[in-house]
Amino acid sequence: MDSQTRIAVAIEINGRVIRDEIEPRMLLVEFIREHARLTGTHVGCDTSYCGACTLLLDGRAVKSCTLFAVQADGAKVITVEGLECAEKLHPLQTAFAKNHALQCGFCTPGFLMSAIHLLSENPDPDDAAIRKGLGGNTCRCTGYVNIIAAVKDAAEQMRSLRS
Amino acid sequence: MYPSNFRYHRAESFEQACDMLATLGPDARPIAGGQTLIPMMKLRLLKPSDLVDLRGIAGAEDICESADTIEIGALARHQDIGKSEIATHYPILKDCALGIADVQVRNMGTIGGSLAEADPSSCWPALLVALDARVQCVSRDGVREQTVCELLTDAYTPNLDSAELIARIMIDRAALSGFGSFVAFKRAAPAYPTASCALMVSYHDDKVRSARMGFGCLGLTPSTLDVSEQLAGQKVTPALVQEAADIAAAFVEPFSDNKGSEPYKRSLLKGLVKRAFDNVEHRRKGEAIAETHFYYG
Repeated sequence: MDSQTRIAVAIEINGRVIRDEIEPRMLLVEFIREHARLTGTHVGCDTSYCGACTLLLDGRAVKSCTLFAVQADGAKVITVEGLECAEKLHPLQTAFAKNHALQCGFCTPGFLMSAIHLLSENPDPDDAAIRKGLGGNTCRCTGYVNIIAAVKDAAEQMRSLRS
Repeated sequence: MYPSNFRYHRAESFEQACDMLATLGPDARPIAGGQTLIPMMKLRLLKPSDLVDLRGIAGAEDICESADTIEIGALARHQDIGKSEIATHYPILKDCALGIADVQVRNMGTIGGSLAEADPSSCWPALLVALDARVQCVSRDGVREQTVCELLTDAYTPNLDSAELIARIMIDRAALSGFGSFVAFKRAAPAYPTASCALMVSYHDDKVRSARMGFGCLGLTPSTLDVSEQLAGQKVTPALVQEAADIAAAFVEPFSDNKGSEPYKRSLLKGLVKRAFDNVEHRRKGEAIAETHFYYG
């Protein structure tokens, strides 16, 4: 097996294109954390279950631990670092802080990215829709109640910002 | 956590992908959404020498219908199928597609991949056997068609040659006439269901004309059962639903495993059959349904 075989990739992350030559087996989460040096995206499990690695790939929430970086060649990625704008927090981030929707914070980036995707498809979700939209993210600290409240709060803020 | 190394290739057509797979040898694998393949590679349960990426194949993701048939490209993703206009017209497709795993997996996972894995607990197989769907398979020898039942001969063993790929899935619109629902019980969103049930019922006025069920997670392969004979000419009453539930629970062949014992799974199926009939009756009356996928708590 020729382990020296490398593939050239160019992935746009938070608006900046990162180019590198990588082994095909490199997971997207490793590319993001090690090569792009964006450590907000977390690795929380070994079995694609926890969702702490969730980011947006061409606008879709995906688990970056269950993707090879070569599969994201030419794509646009948004990570949690891409949420704030001109040093101002995204309404979701503000809502999470305000509603005490995090304790250790390890799962939080994944929840934020899944919530962004949810609200982009459904700007006014009820509790059931929020639970379903966040079903791929696991939190061991909060018991989820405040996370759901934060998403609802942020949805309202974002709707009123638009109107 | 890290897969063993492999060579990566991109295919631009199914024919090219089959060529590549045949040339690269028996340790080469196709990759579609990767939502089962990559987790298995990370656990080193699979160590392919080569991966042939199918996602660049043009036209392989389309969802379309003709007068008689609905056709879905094998690379169509669960989320896209679930949100399609066709799924809005045939809600049983939406129930199945949008209930698979979680949204992240649905954004990458494909219907072709789901079928090719031949996992006894996958959702698409359980629905597609009930709809008597067919698949178009491409290899270096050409194109052939087979039913999903013929494709899924055994657990994890699709009826495909080593360099043969599923290209399209076809469902007769006649199989979708009437009202249907796909329901499942899952321990958590990302988990495979413990049991799943597809139900299609056609009516004459408010009486059953035909009824067909499909079952997932309750045997080595999904199974299907036509209960038209037992139910025809009757209204859907609690007694009728109980009869269908009892027939279904006796028919399936579940294994005891970490998800539950065999008696538990039969009992669970009875509950799912009832919920499926509930959904179907609501839809027949033009009412919205609450939920198709059920969890603890």
